[in-house]
Amino acid sequence: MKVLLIIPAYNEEASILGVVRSIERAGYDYVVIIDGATDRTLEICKDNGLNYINLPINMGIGGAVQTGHMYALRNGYDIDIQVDGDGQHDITYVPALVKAIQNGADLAIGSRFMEQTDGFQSSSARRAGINWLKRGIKHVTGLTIYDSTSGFRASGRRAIELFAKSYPSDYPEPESIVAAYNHGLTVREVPVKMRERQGGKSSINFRRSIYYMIKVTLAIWIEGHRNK
Amino acid sequence: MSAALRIFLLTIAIVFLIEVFRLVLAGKLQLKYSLLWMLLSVILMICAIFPEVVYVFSDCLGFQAPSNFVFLISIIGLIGICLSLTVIVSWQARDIRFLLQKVTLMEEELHRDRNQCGKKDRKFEDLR
Repeated sequence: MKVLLIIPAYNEEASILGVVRSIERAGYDYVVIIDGATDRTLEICKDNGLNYINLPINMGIGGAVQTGHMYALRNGYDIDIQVDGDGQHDITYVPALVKAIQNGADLAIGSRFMEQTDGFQSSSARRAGINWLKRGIKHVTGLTIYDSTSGFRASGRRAIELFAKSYPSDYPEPESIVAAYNHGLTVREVPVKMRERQGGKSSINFRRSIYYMIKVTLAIWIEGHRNK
Repeated sequence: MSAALRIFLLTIAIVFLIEVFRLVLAGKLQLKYSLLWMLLSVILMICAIFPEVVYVFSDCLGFQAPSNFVFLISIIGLIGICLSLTVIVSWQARDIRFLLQKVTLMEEELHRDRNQCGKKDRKFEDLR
């Protein structure tokens, strides 16, 4: 099984090198997708000889991740795993995600909320939002996904093919779960622990969160009514 | 507002909203760009279903007829959407320009590399 780690990175100059070095130590193939960075992320990748793809214009997380899926498909990977460039995701959980795919899942979501852990669990407002999305996804698919916004996730061959062809553009994580379900893929959650980000800024600040919730809720609802 | 106008408004708003959803479902309209249209139809629906809201505002602002206030809301909504469209067009113009420059520079580099390779090959043949 060929496994690729996809690291979408917008402005992650503070953390990208540490994330990639830990991946190299663990011995995985990886590709950094630099999404039109305006800081020194590109220079850091160049100077340290990292494997990267540089998007000339900022496409947003959806476009960046989709580029990673395309790269995985072209290079014949069986599994690709999305890992944030900010150091939130602990790559010691990669084998658990790989195992979920090997056991028949097409999409395996690394979830913070499946069991009580001492890891980073996000603010209570954000947890309430994630809980709302859990109910929305349950409503349209019947699946219970505790951590639908998690960007730590593994895709098997069928999911890679689907996502390389079509992937939502902004705030794609919850929507892509519903899309995967609609295409008959098996979605599973795997418990993981996350850390607080080691650098950079979240793409979702306080002011945007209302817009985020409205947009993602509508997206889930609409995606849930496609092909029905 | 007359009952006829309210029913007319409500029908238009509902038909419009359904059409917007249909376009998003068909993948012809991105959800991101449909949100303002949805907002406008919802506001018109509120005006049609709860005209009291319209009466309060049109009295406060001194409109001669509440329906005029509804038309003003629609026009403001359209102006807002127009403005957002020109903003989007500006982003796209900037991005297209940048992409063109990037592609042209890459093509130039590619040609230069090819020409150099060609010269080397010829030299090699001369030597033989």
